[in-house]
Amino acid sequence: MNARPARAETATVIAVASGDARHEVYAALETLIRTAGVRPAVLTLGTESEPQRTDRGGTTVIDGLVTRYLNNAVASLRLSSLPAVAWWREPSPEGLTELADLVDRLVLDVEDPTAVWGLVPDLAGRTAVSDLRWTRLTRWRDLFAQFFDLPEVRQASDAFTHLEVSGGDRHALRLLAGWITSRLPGGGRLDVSIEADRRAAPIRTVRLAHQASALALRLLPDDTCIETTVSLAGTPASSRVVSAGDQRLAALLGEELRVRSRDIAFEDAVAAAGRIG
Amino acid sequence: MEGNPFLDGLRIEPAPGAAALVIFGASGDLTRRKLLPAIYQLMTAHRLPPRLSIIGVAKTPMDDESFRRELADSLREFADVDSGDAVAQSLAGNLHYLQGDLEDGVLYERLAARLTEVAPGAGVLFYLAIPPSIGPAVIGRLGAAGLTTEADAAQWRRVIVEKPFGSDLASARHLNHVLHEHCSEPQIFRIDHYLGKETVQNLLVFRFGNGMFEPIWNRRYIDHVQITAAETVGVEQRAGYYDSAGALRDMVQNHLMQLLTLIAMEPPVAFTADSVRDRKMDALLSVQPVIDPASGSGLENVVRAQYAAGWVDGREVAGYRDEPGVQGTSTTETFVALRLALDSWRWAGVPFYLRTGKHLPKRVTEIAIQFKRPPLHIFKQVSATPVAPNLLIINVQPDEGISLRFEAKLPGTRMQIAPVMMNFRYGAAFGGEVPEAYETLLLDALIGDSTLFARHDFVETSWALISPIHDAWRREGADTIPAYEAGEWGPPEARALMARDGYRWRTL
Repeated sequence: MNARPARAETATVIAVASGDARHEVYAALETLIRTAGVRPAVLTLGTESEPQRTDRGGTTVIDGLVTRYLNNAVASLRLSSLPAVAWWREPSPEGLTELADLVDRLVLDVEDPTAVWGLVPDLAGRTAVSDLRWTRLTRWRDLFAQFFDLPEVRQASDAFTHLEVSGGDRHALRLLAGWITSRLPGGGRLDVSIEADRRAAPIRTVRLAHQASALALRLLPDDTCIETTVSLAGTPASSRVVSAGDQRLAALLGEELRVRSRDIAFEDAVAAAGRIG
Repeated sequence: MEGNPFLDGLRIEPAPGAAALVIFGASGDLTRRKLLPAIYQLMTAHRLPPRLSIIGVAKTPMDDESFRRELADSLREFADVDSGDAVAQSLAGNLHYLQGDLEDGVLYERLAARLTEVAPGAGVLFYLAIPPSIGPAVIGRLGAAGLTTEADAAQWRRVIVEKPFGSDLASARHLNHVLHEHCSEPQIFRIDHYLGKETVQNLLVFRFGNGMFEPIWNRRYIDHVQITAAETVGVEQRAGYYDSAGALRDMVQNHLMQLLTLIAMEPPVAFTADSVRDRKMDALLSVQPVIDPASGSGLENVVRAQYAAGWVDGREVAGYRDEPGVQGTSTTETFVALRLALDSWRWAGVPFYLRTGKHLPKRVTEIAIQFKRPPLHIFKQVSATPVAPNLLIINVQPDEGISLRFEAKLPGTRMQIAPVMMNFRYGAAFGGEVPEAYETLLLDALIGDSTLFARHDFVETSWALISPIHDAWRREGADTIPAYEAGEWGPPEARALMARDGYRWRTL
């Protein structure tokens, strides 16, 4: 008989996800078992005095857990020898702070993050915290940052007056705008315009401008490529097209699993997003 | 604004912009086995420019359609991908083929026209997957056709050159001269696929990203270093090239010297291409000539041998001189072992032993760093023999990872000591597939990062160490060469080389 070589586990991933889209969670975790060797668990919150514990294809599932026992459940699931990552999909932040004390990384993934983002300063003092929206923005941030590798763009940085972002996810747009205003010296002075259209891709365009100068990113119609354009007054515009990267849930989570350190840029961006409203 | 504030905390995955890849030797083995599968994997991982046009160039009569069928065959055989795969189909759509004589200038005019048609305004990476004998002619033709001229930053032009980078110091200088006639050094990417391996890259992280190893990475704590690159295969289809090259040229001048410098280099001031390569050059310059330039002595530090018939991997194999394409009187070495000394504050007195060969018992490349024993053997009562020295093993292939050997007490009421291994394996520790070296290197070349490519001065300095050994062998004029039975770890002389210093090769 050919025995398969033992596969080491790389992290315990605990999804706290009571919503309707649990099939998404299971599908992503199944991919991560295969591709990243994670040890997964899914917890749903409820009022059961004796929550159901089952195994679903290698994923431990605990259904109906009373919130105040969430940390007990996580404590029993985590292993001291592996990093523990919590994937938080609950709209309510109840139990989140206690959970943060038990995990090495907390990844937020909530449709309306207003409440959980309000806790980020406190959570960041307890564990490394991030948000899947932030992960989705990585390629956009990377491309935007590349504009400022150009000395002429850095020299003109004080001149920009307008920031326009558009797309289908208002919170992602706020986060992106928050990141830009928090990193750009004098970014607080920018006139920020957010144009949200729920039918569109989460981010469609980003434009930082002043009169005839603009730095622009635009998702192309097939949603797989981003066009980057630099137009500075007095010089011809230059543009290029690059891949938008893999935006599937499992890929984004996989990316988060590779990071274990505190992300100050994210914390600053969340704080700035709160000011943008 | 001084630096770029947007880079803080950004997990940068550089993305190449619009580009075309031109593969010379598109109908060859390297393209089928390595390049096309690597391009597919990069495309699957969304790491390639969205509209990367690939133009295959070769003498073999083919058209776009038959080249696309080659792609499908290659992916089926070497990447386990079926023809219905969406990424494979998308890749096929970007594939073009240009048939012609690589030494005919007209071909390059057609290539220029094709590039204008399929990748206007894009950067172009020329991959020379061709025999070294025609490399200079192709570079010359590319230059003469203006194809290596960069109109602006977006329309960059880069050339990947496969080894061998010359066959001795003079020919390496000539090749570099030809390359520099048509390209600046930053446009030239001399590929050494060993440098694309995850463990090799990890050497830099292991050494300079951890506080605990660097303080002991020197002559005070390290006893000696062994670098082994063993192959189970013989010369296979490469007899024509190999018989004129031998193990010293084929493996030591490039791969093993690269590994040696990564072990021996001082910390670079930054993780940039030039900074890393400058420190590697310093390490290479500290390697003392094996052959004394004044007296011509020093051959006692080199062992060469040739495989005779034997058993490898459970099958009987012919001796080297009986291989098709090899002369019956050939004295080409298929095994070589060397003892090198580095003249630096860090390494003075620490010997580096290198060995490589074909038809050895096992396919393995590793670096073993043996530490000095504890100064006092306090366990004399329980173990008459001194404790085994600590050993750090860096596995380059096939099972990429790092192991540390240390002594531990055996469980039980008696005090007994035994060596144990602490193992880190890439595949197991991080999950997912470790990228193939060619994926890493192709992407780096598209991005323009030359950190993992050989620089001209490294190539020439390495040849300056190796060529005198060939000269000394020639002077020796021997028409015989020691033999080792295929399937053994080289000749007895290789064991004697280490035994002279009181060491032995690791049993792998």
